[in-house]
Amino acid sequence: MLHNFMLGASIALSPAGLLFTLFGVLWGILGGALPGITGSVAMALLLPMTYNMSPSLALMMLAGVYIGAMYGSSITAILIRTPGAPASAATVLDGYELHKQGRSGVALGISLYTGTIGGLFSVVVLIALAVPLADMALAFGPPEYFGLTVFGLAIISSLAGKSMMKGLISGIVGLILATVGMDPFSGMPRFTYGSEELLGGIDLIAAMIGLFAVSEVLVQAAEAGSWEKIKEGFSARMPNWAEFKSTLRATTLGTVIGTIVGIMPGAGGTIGGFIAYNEGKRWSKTPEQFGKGSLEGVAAPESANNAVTGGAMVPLLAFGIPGSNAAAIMLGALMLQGLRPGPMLFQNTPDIVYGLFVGMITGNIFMLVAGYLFIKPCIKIVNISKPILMASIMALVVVGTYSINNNINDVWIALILGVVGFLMRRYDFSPSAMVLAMILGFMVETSLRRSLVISYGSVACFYERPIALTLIILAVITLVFPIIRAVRDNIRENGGWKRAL
Amino acid sequence: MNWTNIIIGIILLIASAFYYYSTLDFPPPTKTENLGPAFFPTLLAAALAFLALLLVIAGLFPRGASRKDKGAAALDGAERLEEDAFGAEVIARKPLFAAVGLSFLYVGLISVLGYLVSTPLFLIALIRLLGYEKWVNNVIASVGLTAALYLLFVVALGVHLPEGIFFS
Repeated sequence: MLHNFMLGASIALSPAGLLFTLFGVLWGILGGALPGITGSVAMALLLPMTYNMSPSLALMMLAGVYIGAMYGSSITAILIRTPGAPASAATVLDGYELHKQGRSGVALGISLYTGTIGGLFSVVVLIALAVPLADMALAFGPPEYFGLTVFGLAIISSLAGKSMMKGLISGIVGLILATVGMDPFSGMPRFTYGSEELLGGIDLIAAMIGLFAVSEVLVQAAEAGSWEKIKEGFSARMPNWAEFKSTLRATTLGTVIGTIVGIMPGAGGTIGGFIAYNEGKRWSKTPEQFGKGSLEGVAAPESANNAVTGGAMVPLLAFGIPGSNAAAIMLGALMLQGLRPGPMLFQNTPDIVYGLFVGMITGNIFMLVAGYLFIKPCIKIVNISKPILMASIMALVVVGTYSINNNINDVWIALILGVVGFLMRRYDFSPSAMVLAMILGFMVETSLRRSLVISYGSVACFYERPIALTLIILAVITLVFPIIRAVRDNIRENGGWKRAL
Repeated sequence: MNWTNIIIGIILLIASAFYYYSTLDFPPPTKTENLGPAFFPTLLAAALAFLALLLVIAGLFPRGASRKDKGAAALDGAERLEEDAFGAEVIARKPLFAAVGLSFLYVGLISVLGYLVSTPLFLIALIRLLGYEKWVNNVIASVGLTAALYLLFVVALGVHLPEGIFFS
């Protein structure tokens, strides 16, 4: 274990490791601060460039983006009442109030300090959980993986979208897209309709760039006219010790909540931030200050959304199951290099896993320093005209996607899925659930079929193995419980079963 | 009636039928692998058809203002998965269609005209149609970006971008 940490540190603390982590954090702060460019869009845009990097440097850089974006999104939340990413939506409530009161620097500083605390704590939890969980997962067979993936998909789909039905549809469509290509068992082409390009399946990287980045550019274009600029010349006084101390209770709550929410598949910074805000208010000594410029109202969601970053890596590293867009993109970066995350990664390439652990710690420290020094140039860049920014992102998408395989067809896939993603978001479906299902689809099908091969066709392998059975039961409860609750509520209120639909 | 949901539901029903139809000529399961290539897709087709049907039915009988619509508005945004939120009520058609149309045109033309010719043209047109009115800045930004991406991808990362008819 200590040996592995030394190995990880030797990469993360090497000049290249530090440089790429720092670049990731700066890019993340910037992306997070740009309204519309969320952390995952910023990560997706870098994906093609990771192709030529060593996998551990690629992961460090992407983790840096993820961490930086969580702070960056609070900059615009506080200064123009527009969260740079949804993860800071709860921060708007008190952050913008503080800005109006002329305490902008205090609000930004609290966001930065508590975010660093949340982020560092979550990395410690990540290390403490991922290592033993991966050990446990080594014993998992195909039935356990089937249960795990189905459970993950059930949570993701039921949390996604405005309605559970649309979240589930998004998930099923993602699974369907994952079946395109060569059948993993018989090797026959499925749903390729004669196209040789589709034999290898729909390129996941192109799909992620399309569904995350292209759809976001289109959403921004559709919202043209409501683009706002940050007025410079706000008070830059940072919080003093007394102000910082007053947020400790909220920071502790936010950190713990964020870490737990991060571990859960499907839930991330947005949900973590809102839960932390509500709990921070409930446990505060001065709840009446919330909404009127409470420092705790900034500390709770901002510590939580940074704490999500470590938590989200737990299922990715231990089981190879991404529970969020950011984790999905990091999985994509590993797959570009021909690696699959999961317990074997700890065995075969500990440098990648432990490099990421150490890299996330340096990333959080870089965020603290860069958040302090980088804020002015960052605001300058955010104030660049939106049309120029959006057009550059589009060009970066096209060139970047092309560069993955030197293949123009990948660019078409990214563009088409970008339009699909835009329409999905317009009509309350969830591109995120679709991407995660596209990734998990392969695992769901192969683990199901492999289970039945090793059990000679007997389904007993699913109910005779306690872990597999528990996971499948949890998946069923996840899917059925909201329906039962909705039906019960509707019968109680409206007296009609039809409305329960 | 919620026509959007009804139409989306019908499209998804047709898609699931087509998807199922494509599985019909898959080879049957073998002795060692008893599910075969068609089993999982068939399952997915059935699940999609079921959910699409529910969507149509829900569109035919839309519920009135339910408990969720009345209250809990504060947490409503947070109940969505990360980053799927889409705030605008009114869509700015011209910039949206410009972004979609020009991007498709750009990708179509990049193999013919080459990266160095098509990219500045694409950027200038898109920046203008997204509402930026200063032509000089626009051209400077577009040419600068083209050069920056060229330096990053071709010079630094060694990618071969399409050269087109003017340079080959």
